[in-house]
Amino acid sequence: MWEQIASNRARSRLVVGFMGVLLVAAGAALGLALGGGAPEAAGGGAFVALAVWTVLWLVSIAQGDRILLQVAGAREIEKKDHPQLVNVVEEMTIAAGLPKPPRVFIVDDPSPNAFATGRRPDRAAVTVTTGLLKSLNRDELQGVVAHEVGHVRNQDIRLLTVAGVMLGAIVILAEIGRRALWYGSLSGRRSRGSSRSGGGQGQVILLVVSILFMILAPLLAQILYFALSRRREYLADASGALFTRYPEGLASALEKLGASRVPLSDQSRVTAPMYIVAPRRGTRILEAASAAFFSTHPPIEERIRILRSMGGGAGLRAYEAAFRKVRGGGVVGARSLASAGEVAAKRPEAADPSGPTERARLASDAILSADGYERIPCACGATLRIPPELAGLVQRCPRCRASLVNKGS
Amino acid sequence: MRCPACEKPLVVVEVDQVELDVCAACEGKWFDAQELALLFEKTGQSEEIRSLERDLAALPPEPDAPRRRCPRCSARMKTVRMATAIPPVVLDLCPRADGIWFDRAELPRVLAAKIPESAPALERVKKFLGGFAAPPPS
Repeated sequence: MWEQIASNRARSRLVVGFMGVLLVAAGAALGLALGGGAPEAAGGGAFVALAVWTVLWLVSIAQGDRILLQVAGAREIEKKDHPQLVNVVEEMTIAAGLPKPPRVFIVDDPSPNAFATGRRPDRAAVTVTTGLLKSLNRDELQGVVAHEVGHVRNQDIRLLTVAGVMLGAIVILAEIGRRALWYGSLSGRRSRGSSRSGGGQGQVILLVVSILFMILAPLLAQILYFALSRRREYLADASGALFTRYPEGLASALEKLGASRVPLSDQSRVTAPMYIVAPRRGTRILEAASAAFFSTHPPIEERIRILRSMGGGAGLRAYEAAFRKVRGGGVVGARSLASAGEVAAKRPEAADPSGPTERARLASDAILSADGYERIPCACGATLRIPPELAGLVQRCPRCRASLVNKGS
Repeated sequence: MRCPACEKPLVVVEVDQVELDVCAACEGKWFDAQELALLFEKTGQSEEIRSLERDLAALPPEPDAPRRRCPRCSARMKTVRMATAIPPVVLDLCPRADGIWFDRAELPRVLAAKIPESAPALERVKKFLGGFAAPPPS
């Protein structure tokens, strides 16, 4: 994976630089459009964009992970909240050789999904949805966590975090420009009229070019961002297989995730590439169109087929061979392959005794416990969880209407 | 999560590893998408419940009913009238299928309409649901 890490560093700079150029160009276009075609306005716009870019870059380096976790509505959990998840993260940390386990976050969302974020491998976070915890057994969960830990280990997370924050900024800037043009069309017409006396045919062309650019900038940024994230997904899958030594776990998890019809509540364009499978959108038409052009992820079926063609191996070589067979071309770099040993896949562990009912309870327990709910058992067999806001106020069990024993007394 | 009817925070009640969200103030109950079916897994009636959920989702929305917000996704919920219940009940369904909201006395009526009184499983269901399956005291 060494080339991958080196290439990630180089690409990080490239992406930040390219996005900076795009942002400055978009700012210039915006200035041009608002200033009615005056060259000084373009310079001003570019300068403002440059300032915005610098601030964004600094913010995304320092706070990017926190911003994205906040946008996704993630809550940090401890071992007591969901022991199985935290154990799996710890196991995969050891398998990947990370300096320390990533922090573990949960998003309360019925759609099964997961993502990793952070600045460095020792300051990373792995986030899963409650839907994921509910639908996957231990082997599958391990596969997904290993995939995310793979992103941490391959140093994808910083690039994704920085690119995510910057992409968000370009989208917002272009949106401001579009609206300013729309609402400012009246004043624009006036200034165009005055410039005609100064022989401003070239300025009209400039205006058209700047409008075109404002439409294209977010699109270009997105294409770049997504093209980067595709190869990363394959490599994280390869890491997932390697760390678990059980490719079928991840394959079967991806199958479940791909079959899920529940849309993710968080449908932000910015956080989409962070998830293990592209978040399902609400409308079908949008989904089909975005799948064709802006898919952040390789098709799930293909990823599953590659994992299932590894022929009893679990190492990078087996993944590379399977990738060549299914898709053609290579994905793992030559240097990583040379240093990779043959790793045999292990046999599946004993069947997971927990059924869907128990998994659902453990998943919601984790989120309630992270949210500070108090747990009060009632004599009727029900267990109540009282939100912090109602602590001390609920005196009767809603099921049997018996008085509850107050914990404090 | 907050009660769609009175905005108070919901209390989580867990019975036999199945959870439902109950409003301590108005006694309304929220069932997440698979929770209602999970609840009936143990009495072998999850299929009836799944078909009930499908039937409810296929009902046309009530034109004049007030539209509450889904406690999960805060989208306006679809209000449907289940005419087979006696008396008929008006339920709130999340448009994204996040779950169903039952007001105070609606759950027992819906269950009575869906599961015949003679079915031996009904007793077990009632025992399982406790006070939730009985009409609330006035």
